[in-house]
Order: sequence, then C-alpha cells, then structure tokens
Amino acid sequence: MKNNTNQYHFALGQFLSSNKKKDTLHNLKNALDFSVLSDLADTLIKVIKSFSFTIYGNALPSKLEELGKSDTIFKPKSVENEIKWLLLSIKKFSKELSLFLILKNEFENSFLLGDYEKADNTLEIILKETGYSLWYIEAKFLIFEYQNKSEDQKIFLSEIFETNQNGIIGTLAHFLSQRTERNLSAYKYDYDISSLFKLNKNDEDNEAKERYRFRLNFFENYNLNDYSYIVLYENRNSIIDRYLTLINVLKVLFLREENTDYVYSKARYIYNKTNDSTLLPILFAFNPKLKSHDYFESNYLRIIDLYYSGFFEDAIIECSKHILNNTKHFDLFVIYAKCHVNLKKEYTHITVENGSLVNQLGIKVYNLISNNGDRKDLLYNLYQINKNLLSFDISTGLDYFLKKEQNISTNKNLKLLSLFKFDPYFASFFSKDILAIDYLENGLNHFHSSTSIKHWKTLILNEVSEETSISSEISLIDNAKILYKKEKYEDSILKWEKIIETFSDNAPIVQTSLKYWFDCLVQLEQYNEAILLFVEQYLNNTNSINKINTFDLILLLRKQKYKGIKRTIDLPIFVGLNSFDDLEKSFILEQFCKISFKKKPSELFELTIDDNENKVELFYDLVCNSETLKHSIYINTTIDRLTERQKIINHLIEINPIKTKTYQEELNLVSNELIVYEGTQKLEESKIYANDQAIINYELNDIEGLFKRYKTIYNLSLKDKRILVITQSSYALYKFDDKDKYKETDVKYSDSALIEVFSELFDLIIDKYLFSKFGIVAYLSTRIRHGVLLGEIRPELEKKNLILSRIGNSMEYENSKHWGKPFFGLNDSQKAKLHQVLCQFSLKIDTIIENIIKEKIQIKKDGKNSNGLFNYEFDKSELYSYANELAIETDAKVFSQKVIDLIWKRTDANLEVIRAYIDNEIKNQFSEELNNLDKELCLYFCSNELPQIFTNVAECSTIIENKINKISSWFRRSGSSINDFDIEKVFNIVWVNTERCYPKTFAECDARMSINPVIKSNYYIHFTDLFRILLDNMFKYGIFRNGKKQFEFNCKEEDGLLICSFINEKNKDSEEIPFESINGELIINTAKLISENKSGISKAVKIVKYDLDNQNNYLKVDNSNEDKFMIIVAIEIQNLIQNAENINSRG
Amino acid sequence: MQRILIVEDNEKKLEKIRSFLKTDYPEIDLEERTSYNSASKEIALNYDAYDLILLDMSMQTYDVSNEESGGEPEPLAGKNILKQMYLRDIPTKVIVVTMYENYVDGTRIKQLDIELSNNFPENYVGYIFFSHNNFDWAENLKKSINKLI
Repeated sequence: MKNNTNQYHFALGQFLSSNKKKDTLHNLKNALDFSVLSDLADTLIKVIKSFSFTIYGNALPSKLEELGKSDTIFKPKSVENEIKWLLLSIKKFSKELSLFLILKNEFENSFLLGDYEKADNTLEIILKETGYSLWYIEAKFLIFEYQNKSEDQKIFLSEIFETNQNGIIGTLAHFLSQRTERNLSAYKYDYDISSLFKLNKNDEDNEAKERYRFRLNFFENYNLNDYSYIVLYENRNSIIDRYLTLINVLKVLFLREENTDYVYSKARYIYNKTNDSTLLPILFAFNPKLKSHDYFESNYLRIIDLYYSGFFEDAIIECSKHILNNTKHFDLFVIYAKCHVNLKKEYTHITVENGSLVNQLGIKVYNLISNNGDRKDLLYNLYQINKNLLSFDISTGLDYFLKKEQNISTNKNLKLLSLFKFDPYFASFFSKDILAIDYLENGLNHFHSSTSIKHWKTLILNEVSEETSISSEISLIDNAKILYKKEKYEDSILKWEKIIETFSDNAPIVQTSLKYWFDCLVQLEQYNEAILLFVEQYLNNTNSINKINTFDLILLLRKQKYKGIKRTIDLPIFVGLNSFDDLEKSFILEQFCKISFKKKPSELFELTIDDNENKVELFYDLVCNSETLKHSIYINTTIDRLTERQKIINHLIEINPIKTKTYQEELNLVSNELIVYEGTQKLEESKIYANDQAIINYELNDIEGLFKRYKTIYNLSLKDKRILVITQSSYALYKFDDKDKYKETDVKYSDSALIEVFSELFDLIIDKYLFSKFGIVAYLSTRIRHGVLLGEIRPELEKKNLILSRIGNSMEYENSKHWGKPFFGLNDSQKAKLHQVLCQFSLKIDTIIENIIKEKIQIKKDGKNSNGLFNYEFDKSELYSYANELAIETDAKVFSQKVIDLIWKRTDANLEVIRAYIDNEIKNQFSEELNNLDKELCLYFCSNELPQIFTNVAECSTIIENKINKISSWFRRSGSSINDFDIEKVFNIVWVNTERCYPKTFAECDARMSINPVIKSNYYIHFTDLFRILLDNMFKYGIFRNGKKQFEFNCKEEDGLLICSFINEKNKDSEEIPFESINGELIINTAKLISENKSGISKAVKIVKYDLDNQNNYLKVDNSNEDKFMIIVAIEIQNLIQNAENINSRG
Repeated sequence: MQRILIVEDNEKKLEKIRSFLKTDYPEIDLEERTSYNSASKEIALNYDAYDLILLDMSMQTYDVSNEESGGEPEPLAGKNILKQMYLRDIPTKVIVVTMYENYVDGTRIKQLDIELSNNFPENYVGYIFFSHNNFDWAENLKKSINKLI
C-alpha cells in the first residue's frame, strides 16, 4: 500500500513537472499498476480538467461529428497496458455501460421479434443515454434495412460521411452498412473484407487492416498475433464501441486459452462493473464453483430438463415463452426444433410476426436439422442472417452451429461462449472431470432435482445411465456415446444400429448415429465397411450423412494410397462425394474400370457393375463427370473427353428416364461445348477470348445484392437526393511511422453516388471479365505473353545468328560463336566491331519485345500500366452514360451481360488499336532495326567480306514481317473471327453434334445447298444456335420410317433472301403444330422465349429477327404437305456477308 | 542404356534442354512429352523405362494437334503429375525444370519446392530454374543429374 502511495506521488510529480504531459501520461500508462493509474487519473482530471478528454476520450458523443475524435494516440506496448487504460473508462462509465447493456438486450429482443418500431424507440433511448457509437450506427442501418427503407439507410450513411470528418468512422460505417444489407452476398462481404484489407508482409499499415478485419468480420478473422492495436485504435470511439471491442478481445483470448488468469481477472472486474451476462461463460469456465444469481435461471434449466425428460410439448411451450422474452440463447432454437422433430410435429412459429427473424431462424434451423428443403440454401440463408446480426449476442451460437453443420473445424469453446445461463451441457467443455463435476454440483445446489444435471453427471463419469426419467431419444444416444468413449466400438455399433431402427424418421438422431457408427468402423479399421455404410446411407437419404466426418478417413486412405481397399463401386462413389481432388477421383475411377479390364467408364455400360441401379446412376453421374475425366490417361483430347461425357449422360437417361429432363440439360451443355469447341478450334489464330456466360454464371453469381444497392441509389437519384459515398476505395488506413508518430490517410467522398455505386458494380464485372479464370487475362497470359510472343520472333533472328544470347540478366551479350569461326576469317578487331554491332542490335530487339510484352500487352486500368494497349480506363462521363443506359434493367444477369457487352466494345476498340500498333509501329520498328543493322554492318564490312550476314539480314526482313503479321492476327476475338465461316460448315458442325445427342436415333439428312455464303464472324454463334434449335426439333418430332428418321436441309437464295428449309417427315394424322403464327409467319411468344423445354421456336424467331439484326427476317412453318413438316428460315443476306463476292454460288 | 523423359511444352526450352543433354550425356536416351495428359499416360504406363523425369510445371492439358487446341492451361500440371506418380506408387525420380518464379495461382517456386518435398519425398528431387538468358540452369541440372544417374 505504501509502495503504491509512493508510486502515485512520484508519478503525479513527474506528470506535473513535465513539459510534454501527454507523452508523460503515455509512459505512466505503461509503467503503473491499474490502481495507481486509476488514482492518478482521478487526481489529474481534477487538477487539469481538459485531461479528462485525454484519459477517457469522447466517451458519450452527443453529436455524430464528435464520434472518432480523440487526443493523441501513442504506439502501444502491450495489450495488457491498453486494456488497463480502457478499464479506467469502464470504471468511470460503468453505470452508463450497465444501462446500455440492458437497453441493447431490449433492442435485440424487439428487433429479432420483428417489432422494429419498438426496437427503433429503444435505439433512440440508447442514443439519448449513451450518445453516438458505431454500434448505434450499425443498429440504425439494420432498422432501416429490415423496415425496407434501403434508401433511408443510404441517406443516413451519406449523412455520416458529410457530418463526420473522421475517415476511419466513414470507412467502418461504409462496411457496417454493407454488413446489414440482406441481399448483399455474405460471401462477397467476406471476400471484400479479406481482399481489401489483405495483409502484406512488409506493409506498415497491417495493424490498421487487421483491425478492420477483426472489427468488421469477427468470426472469420479473430485470430491475430497482437490485440494491442485493436484496443488502442478503438480509443477514439465512444465508450460503447471501446467496451464491445474489449469484450470481443477478451473472448478471443479466452478461446486461445492464453494468459487464462489474466483473462479471468479482467472478465471478473468488468462483470462486477457492468453485470454483462456475456462474460458469465468465461467466469464459469475458469471457476465452476462460482456463485452468481444471474447465471442460475430456473426457467432456462426447466426447458433443458423438460427436453431431457422427453416432455417435448411442454418444452416447446416453455422455449417459445423464453425466446419471446430473451432471444439471445441460440441453443433454445435448436431444442425448439428438435422437440418438433421428436414429436413428428409440424413446425409451429414462435411469434405471430411471421417475417420476424426469430421465426426465420426457427424455421430454418428446423428445416436444416430435419432435412427439409435445400440444405445449401438454408445454410447460406442462416449465414447471411448472421452476417446482419454480427453485433448481436445470438451470433456466437449461430456461427458455431453453422460451422458444426458443415463440418468446418472450429474452436469448441466458441460454443461455450454462447451459453449464457447454467446449462449442464457446459460441463462437457471442462478438460478435467473433476471441474465438470464441480460445475454440475454447483448447479445441483440451485436445482436439487434437475434430471438433466444428474444425467450429465453420469455422462461425465462415463456411466451408462439406467435413469428412466431421461427420454429415450437422449439416453440411448448418450449410452451409445459412452461405449464409444470407452472404445467399445463393436458394442457401440450395435447400439447405434438399434437407435437408427427405433428413430428412423428422426433426422438429427439418424445423423448423429451414423456419425458415430462410421467413426466406430474407422476406429476398428474396417474401412471398407465404413465406405459401404456411407454410400448406402447417402443413397437412402442424402442428408443422413451430413454429420459424418470423412476428412480423416480420406486423408488416411490417401496416405496409404488406397491400398487394401476393395475396388467396389462404393469406393469411387465415396471418394467422389468426399474428395475435392478430381485427380484422385480419376485415379480411383481408373482403378475401378481396371478390375473389369476396361479403360473408360463408357466401356462399362455393357457390364452389370452393381445390382443397385441407384448406385450405378450415382456412380456415372457423380464420379464420371467432365472434370474427373480430364485426368484420365485414356482420354486424350478435349473432344474425346466431351464425347465420353455425352455417352455417359445418354446412358444415365437410359438408366433413369425419370430424370431425363435434368440429364438433358447437361447433355445440351456438353453438346454446346462441343459445338463451340469444334467451331472455334479453327480459330487458332484468334487468341482473345473471355467466356461471358461462365463469368456471369460462376463468377458473378452473387452480384444480386450489389445490383440491388445500385437500384436503390438510382431510385434516390431520381428523387434528387444528395448521397455521399466513399470513392476510389480510399478507406482510411493508419500506422505509426519510424518515430512512432501516428499517421492516417484521408478518405475521399463523392456526391456522385449513382456513378460511384455503378462504378463499383462495373468494376466488379470488369474485374471478372479481365482477371477471373474465364476472363481475358487468363487467355492473354497463356496464349501470348508467357514466352509465346518472344518465341515467335527471337528464334528467327537466332537462327540467322543476328541476335546474341544475354549474359545472365545483365544487359550484356555473349560473343557470337558462329561468326567467330575461322571459316569467316575475321580478325580480332573485326570480331570486336561485329560484336559491338550485334550487341546494339540485340539490345534494341530485346527492348522492343520486352516493351511489347511488359508495356503494351498489358491491362491499363486503375492507373496501372499507363502504356498498356488493353485500355480499360473509363472516365466518369462514360460511366455516367452507361449508368443511365443500364438503369432500366431489373435483372442482375441481364445487366451483367449488358455491361460485358459494353466492355467487349471497348475490347474490340482496343484490339483494333493493338493490331494497328503491331501492323505499323512494331513492323516499322523491326524493319528499321534491321535496316540500321544493315547500315552499321556496311560501315565496317564490305559485302564480300562477310556476305552471309547481309543475306541473313535481308532474309530476316521478310521472315520477321510474316511473323508480325501472324502476331497481329492473334489480336482478334476468338469466336467472332470465323471470317470465313459458311453455311455448310456451320450446318455440318451443328448436325454432327446434334446427332450425338440422339445416339439411339438413326437419322439421315439430305443437305442441298445451291449457295454457300460466307458470313460475318459475329453471326456465327447465332447461326449455330438457330440451326441447333431447328435440328433438335427435327430429331424430337420427326417420325421413324423404316427404322430411321429422314431429314432434308435446303439452302438457296431468293430475292436477296437466304432461304434455309428444315424438313422432316410426319404422320398424316399429326396433331396441329402448336406454334403461334400470323399468315404462316411464326411470332415470338415472350413466355416461351424465357421458358425452357419447349420447342425453342420463339427463341429461333428471336435469333432470326434480332440477333441477325433484321426484323424483316422471318420464320415460317409449312404444314400443308401431308407427309412432311417444314420450317423455312428467310434471312436478308446483304447485312450478313462481308461483300457480294462472298456469295459462293454452287449452281 | 539410361533414359530420361522430358516433359516440356515450350519448344525453345525443350530444344535447349535436349541439346544440353545430348551434348553432356550422349549415352542417355531421351523421350519427350508435351502435355499433362500425354506425360501422365507415358509415366503411368511406361515409368519403368525411365531413370529420371525432367518435369515442367505449367503446360496444357492435351497435346496440340489440328483437332486439339490443347485444352485448358494447367498452371500446376507438374504437381498433378507428381500426385499421379504418388497414387500409382511410381518410384521414378523427378527434377522440376521451370521458367517461372511465380505461378498463376500466386504460389512462389520456393513455396512449391517445400510443398513438393513434403508431399512427394519419394519422387521429387528438387527444382532447376531455367532461363533463356543464361546457362546456370544447365550447370545446376548437370549437378542434379550426376547425383542421380
């Protein structure tokens, strides 16, 4: 005590005599104990009132603009010191914090129960009592979002940007706004946070990035090396934000099981100050004998007891009552759902407010555990909801639940943190049984007759319970688990088998039983049986195996190279279902084929590979897919691979005709891929390609939310509202410099919200268009940049001994061995001169090539690669016109395609520039350098002195020119550059591929073409689509005559029209064809245009009239002949062809 | 006679490696494959014919021909070939000869070296960094080959 007093006086003296008081206080902060520091703080604010701000910050900001203001920030020494500093404020504002926590709880309850008005009222009380905070901002965003006031949300965000000058607040608010959006993809949010705040080894602002990651996406980023910055940077915010962040830091320290005594002491100190019930799990985990009235709640335990005792009806009623008063106990949602399942009772909503989040959570949890609905969708929906609720107490429990449901490994203590009340289940987390028993005994002291506590005591002691008061759903499972824990795996299996038999329609019980049954078999090293169990159960019910952890078994099998595992059909299915590695699947598939002496799956068709047809179907469908086949050593071309898959899909249709529709869809995709592949194969010279459809379907599948935001801003712009947004991703970053001085970057705002949001959307699309795996750069890199361009030019000059080899990476070159040969008779001086000339020439050529690759064939975007000829810089006015042009779109996919079309226009313009650049500038440069070389050589050598070199230079001029022409031709769009495509070619490609789709149909086509016009490249894909639709219909609707279908295709010119007739035979009594027509001319039925599985005629009409750019084109049906059915396509030819000479008459 | 299989799709690089081997190891028989698929096939079916495999890391899926564009580029095809060898229990030693310091997926050659050493210790001997601009690679390759053959 005396020591403390001395310390206090010494510190006070030091402070008062200091000229740099803030620095001194910072030093004292790091040096003093909490109690001395606290006394010192109390004195200082009395002596120098302004120091209250330095010590406590702006704890309760009454105005939005005050949020984020702080006194000087000093580089932290340790997380303990930062926490110590924050505890001063917590001590001072403990009453406000206690009140806040009560109100926060009320807010969360009202919000989750769907009473947004009440929640909003509570929020305003919080604002009045504790001022502005980031927590408040996020809560307000949520209220707006869930009241369907997206526009108000964006206006509020804009107000924050306008009012509050602190860039960090702006940045955090920007992302919190996104986090609360219901339609913005949660996965995209995760991606944005991790990519925008990606940590780089040597970056000085990593601490700032870590803070954003931690603060904005806690569950994905809570593991850090140093938490001192997290606490420090929060000092600028309100006491509410500082407090909530500290609680999260303590939770993480608890999860990491580091410095446990420290965590316990701080949690206890804070709990004593604020009564924060979220800290109770930490306190009881460290001290199971703790006394706390709040923790032992009889109503909560009653629910657990009712559930354990099998009184599921009563448990449902009590759960519902409890949730209506307190929404944060996520486990109650699970119990509520399980009670319904155990009773085989139809799910009942918890509240009358159907759309409330409580009901949404409840029904989704129920559907998930009872296997109702699409599991993937349910998991995503819950994940998305939890993204909105990350600041709520319920989020920890929900996050853990989702991870367990997906078998994602996670810290088991995370679950513990979600148990805010005494729950016997909590005992399972103690590493020592004695502590678990202490915990349960502590509970028994409060609830003497609790069934669940007694049951858990037997469980902890691994005693098989004979307790009859426990419901069989629980007791049977727990007893089987005890046998498993005691390593009595065979006995355990018998129990699990029995349980499944008894509760066959109880999905969660079946899932748990199968998980343990599988684990028992693995423990017994009965791997074949484990595999068989998994596959059989999967076939029985695809969701039944959800809880089984197959990861360890796959690792083990891989480690032993699948030796000793039976090559039955179950193995490839098991690997197919559980391995992410297509190569591994392919290897297992090959092994399976090998036992029947076959090489490809299609060769197995003739064999009975298993009696169970479902298994056979699953094998062909799941295992023998295109990606797996890519790794087969017996399938050696793309066409072979696609054809093999075609055969397999056709076989699948035969095996299970009921699923024809599903398989037909894949068949169409594969066939189209083949058509495109074969059609574009001839375009080897055109190397510029991006797969629009794949980009939209695979890379932009979560664009919906961002698109919705764009539409919201667009609607606001129509109302002339001024909306501010952060521009150019200029999020505030901050760091300590070499002298430990704090520095911060500015955030840029823009009031052109529509353009900014459109830019973000546009940027996302262009980013995928350029840089995704389906994007241009992937093809550009492989096809042109990496060695290909260099490999076209340099070797030609090397062959002629005009260019020298570089010495390492230097700018120096090796001597030419060739010209140094005695044969050429050069003396040393001449050799030196020649070397000098060739060095100069080599350097210039290498520089040109390097310049083309590194400077010119680069993407110019975002200020990078200013000399790049692939220019994707768009100025504001362009984006403005695009934004307005596309604002009418309501469908995100159509919108994406239109944006891509716009980008393609830019690409086309870029390609023209590049071709011109290569055809002119590059060609000239090479020509000039060869001329210069010639000149230089002439200066030193007579043409008869070294004749061959001059001949070589001359030869190279032509060779290089040809090479450059070839290079120039690469810069065309793949798929659009079949400049020489003709009707015959496209018909043949489509015919072959359509025929492949009907392997059981013997068909012949009599194709007669009196003209064969050469059509412009950009119509190629439309012709293939059109022909495909019409030929497909002929296969579908044409009749068999003498075992085959006979078709005709005629192509002729008539009055400037290209007339293509598609004719098939029909029965005399054929029904009338259900096509809509006016005077025989077919018209578009819009509904059919967007629907599938119809004849596709509407689509054909659309292609003919719109994609072929002439509304005078038409499609006619001629059903007048009693034996034949005819579709006539009439296309005005002039627009389609390059020039009149291209009409290649065959007359 | 000893045999080396060169798996390489870059003609120029292949030519240099071939030329180096022919000069420095005239007694060794050379066989070449130019794609992930053809190399996997050759190794799976005839691995015992080879004493060593020189393996490029990035290549196309299939051999290029008039009918075949080569399929998708496989940035880490070499890794897949090593995986094939592992699963098939093929003991042949492999030296990776690469021009890349960084791969498309962001993997650096040194990282990859560690990964391959850990995952395929039976086969993977090490990597040689190839450059058209110098012959360091040839010296390094020579040292590695001499240790193995």
